[in-house]
Amino acid sequence: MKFIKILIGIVLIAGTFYLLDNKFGSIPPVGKFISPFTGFWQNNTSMDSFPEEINIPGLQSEVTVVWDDRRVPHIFADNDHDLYMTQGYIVARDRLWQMEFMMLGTAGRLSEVIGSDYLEYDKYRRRLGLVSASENMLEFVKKDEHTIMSMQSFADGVNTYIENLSPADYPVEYKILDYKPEKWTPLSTIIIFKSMAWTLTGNLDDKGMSQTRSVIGEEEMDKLFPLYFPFMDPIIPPGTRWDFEANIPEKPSDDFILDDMTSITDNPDNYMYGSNNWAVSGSKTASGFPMLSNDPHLNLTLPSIWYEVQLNSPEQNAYGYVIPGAPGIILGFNSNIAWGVTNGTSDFLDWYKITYKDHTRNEYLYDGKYLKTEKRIEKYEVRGVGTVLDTVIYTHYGPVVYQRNEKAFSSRIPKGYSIKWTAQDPSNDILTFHGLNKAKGFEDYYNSLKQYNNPSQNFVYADKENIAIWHSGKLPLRWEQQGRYLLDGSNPAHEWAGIIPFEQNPGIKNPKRGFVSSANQFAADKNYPYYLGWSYATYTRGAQINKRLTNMDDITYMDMAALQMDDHNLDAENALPNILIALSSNKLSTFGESAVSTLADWDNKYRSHLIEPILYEVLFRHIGKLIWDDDLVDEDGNRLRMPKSDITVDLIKNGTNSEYIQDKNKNLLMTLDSIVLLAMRYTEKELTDKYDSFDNIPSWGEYKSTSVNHLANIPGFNKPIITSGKSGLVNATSRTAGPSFRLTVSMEEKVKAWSIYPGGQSGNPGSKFYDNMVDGWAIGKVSKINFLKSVNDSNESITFKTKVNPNK
Amino acid sequence: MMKNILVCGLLYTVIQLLIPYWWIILIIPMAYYGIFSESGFKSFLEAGICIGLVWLFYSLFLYQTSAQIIAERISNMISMSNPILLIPAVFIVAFLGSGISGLSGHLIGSNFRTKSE
Repeated sequence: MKFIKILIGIVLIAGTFYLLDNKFGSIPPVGKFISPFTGFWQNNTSMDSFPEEINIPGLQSEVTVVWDDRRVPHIFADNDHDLYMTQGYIVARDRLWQMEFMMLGTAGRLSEVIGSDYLEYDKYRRRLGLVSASENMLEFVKKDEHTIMSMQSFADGVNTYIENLSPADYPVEYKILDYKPEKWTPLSTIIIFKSMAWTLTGNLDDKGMSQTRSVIGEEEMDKLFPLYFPFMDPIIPPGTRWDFEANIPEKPSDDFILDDMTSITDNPDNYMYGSNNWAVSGSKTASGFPMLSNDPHLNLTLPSIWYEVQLNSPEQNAYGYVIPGAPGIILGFNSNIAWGVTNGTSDFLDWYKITYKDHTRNEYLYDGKYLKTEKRIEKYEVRGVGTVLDTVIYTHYGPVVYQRNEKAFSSRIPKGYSIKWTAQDPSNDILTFHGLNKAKGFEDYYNSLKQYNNPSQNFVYADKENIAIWHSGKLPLRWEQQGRYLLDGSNPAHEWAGIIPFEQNPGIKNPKRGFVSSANQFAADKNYPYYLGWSYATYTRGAQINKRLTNMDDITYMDMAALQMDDHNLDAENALPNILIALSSNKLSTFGESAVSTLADWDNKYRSHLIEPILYEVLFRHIGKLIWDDDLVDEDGNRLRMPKSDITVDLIKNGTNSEYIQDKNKNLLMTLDSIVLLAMRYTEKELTDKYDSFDNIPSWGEYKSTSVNHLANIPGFNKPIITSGKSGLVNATSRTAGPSFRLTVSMEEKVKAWSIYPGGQSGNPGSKFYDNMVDGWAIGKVSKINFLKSVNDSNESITFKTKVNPNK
Repeated sequence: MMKNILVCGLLYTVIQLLIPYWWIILIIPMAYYGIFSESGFKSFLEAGICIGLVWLFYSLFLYQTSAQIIAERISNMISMSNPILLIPAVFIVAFLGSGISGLSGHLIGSNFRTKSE
């Protein structure tokens, strides 16, 4: 009897432990999670207070961290080693979960912490070669003493922080998902760089383009997907002459036929491009010194993708934004220069069809011979499942992401093709950023960009006298349109002929017009001899920025910040007059009449309180569908690649007799007028179905419903906001993406800067500083940055000093 | 009963502050009532009340001082209408967990408490 009692006691206690200590589905382990001593209650605002002292064993001397009222750490160290080590500790203190989660996501390891639901996502990441590319990069950067020192010191700082954590101190996301932080390594840092590289590569158009070409032919492709878009205002001022001899490879005569016709179902028309930057010369500013602005557009996430920091050592005094997980500053300024980026959007990723010798996939055809493949075994430790193995075939181009008989994670990936991507090549991009952190002038900026590889970026520059912009990164040397479509991996003539020498990359210093700018558009006009790609952003942001900068003088930081919030839609300015003319010649419903009279008085601005942007957006979408849907489908009814909005706008503005206006499905003779009228009926139906009547249509801000979402999209951790703008406008705030920070720097004697970002310095959802800047960001506020000269710089905004000791 | 609740609660709080793992709520009542149990029901009730109250008051204190933001987010996460409801939830979890562990202590310790029983 006693034995049974003991047994029941043991079963009860073991069962209770099991039930309260384990995660079931998405339910966190209840006991662990809800305990006020160790659970989420501990992730409270007491974590916001700064420590008086920190011990980081391995530091060579004492370091001081000065905190200001914006909660920005200013790290003062006697050498770079200590600087990066302290940076690692401080960034981990605020953003540990985020940086590790980003790393796990790119390394194809989310299934380790979430479970089998993420296995296919993980496989996709590894099959793209993101980990093998990171390993290649690590081997390469090891050759540079400074880079490996910076990454190792950073990792040591992160690991010191992790070692001192008790489970109660873990960021709350670890508690929700029930796992522990692991050791940070230099490879983790490189994976973060590759994460950005993949995010900013984006041009997975080749399969869709090949399919579309196979249906409509080359000639139509050139009309609908022109190499130089209508209304285009390139980065380098038009008419710029290039004083070099271009060595362009010849296009092979053979025509390559596409064979992967599986339909594209995921977002073929999703142009997520964003980012603006510009610099104005001293002749255009009130201070007489150059100024620079930058706002890179990314997915809006909490914790924010960026963390603000100042790094000071005898080698550097740099301030700006870092990606948690990387040592140094990615974007910002120092006492001598300021720099910023927009995505270059050139094409540096191609797909090569692989012809295997047999089912073993041990060899593949190349130049009439068979070459050996390499097989890489990828191992996944899937939570709740165990070890899963996956073999990935590599050719000399890169990994074959999916074989023909496999199901692709993204239908945009052509099956049976090798990916060739400049990010797979060994390079040391970290050195570029560290070079910029320490740069003293233009020459240092230029030399730093020379070693930059991937992804291509437009680096804008300002110092106390000069401004410049350079389209940087390794750009493949190709014949015109090479890589716009899928390529034949067995044909050596389809290989890249090399890399364009950096000296011949598009760039300009101190142009006559007194400003430089970029907004992901074409780098240069037709005078530039090389083919760099075609899928750039349309003219709307670039042209608007250039138009406004041309007319601006005596510029102050407020003018620059106001330009970053510009929400004028040039597409609407170009298309709306003809749309309204078309509507005015027809009898309209009450709804239609209200819509027309509202749109007629509209200034084409996307302000959050207006309804006009909704009317225009819905109407324009229906016009686009009516024009293109009947033309761009294959025999099986699958939708093909759609042209960008500027082609539709061009057609509305200039091409009323275009054959695309006709309805091929119903064999109807349509005119632009009839299309616009029909589109207005569809608009009325869509909006009245949703909101009952014209009067009930909400404001643009409510309709758009922007939300800054948590990185793991945990409900309750997101921040919905009402804000102006939309993608494609200078203030490119869409539903889930937008300016990830807004920065303006004035290169005066004592450098001044202003910034904001849609988040907060703390990554703790229980902190006051998790999302404290989002509301200000939404209405375009910026706040002055405290750029300190030395650790003793007295400033009323300084709130705290932390002493960082070398010994335990 | 009161004495047991006070002693067990105090012992638990001190050890919990030293050892940052939640399962201390299982260890302490089990050990305490393994030695001092009078009956299974009383062990369950006393252990549940003593640790349930510690968790309740501590979570209430944190909610009032520093944990309001995180409590609101967590209540949103689990679609709870009001974050204050997390406090009784905390009590229930601690009451059941430590109550069962008190009962387990009673059952396991029964062999060693022959005389007193």
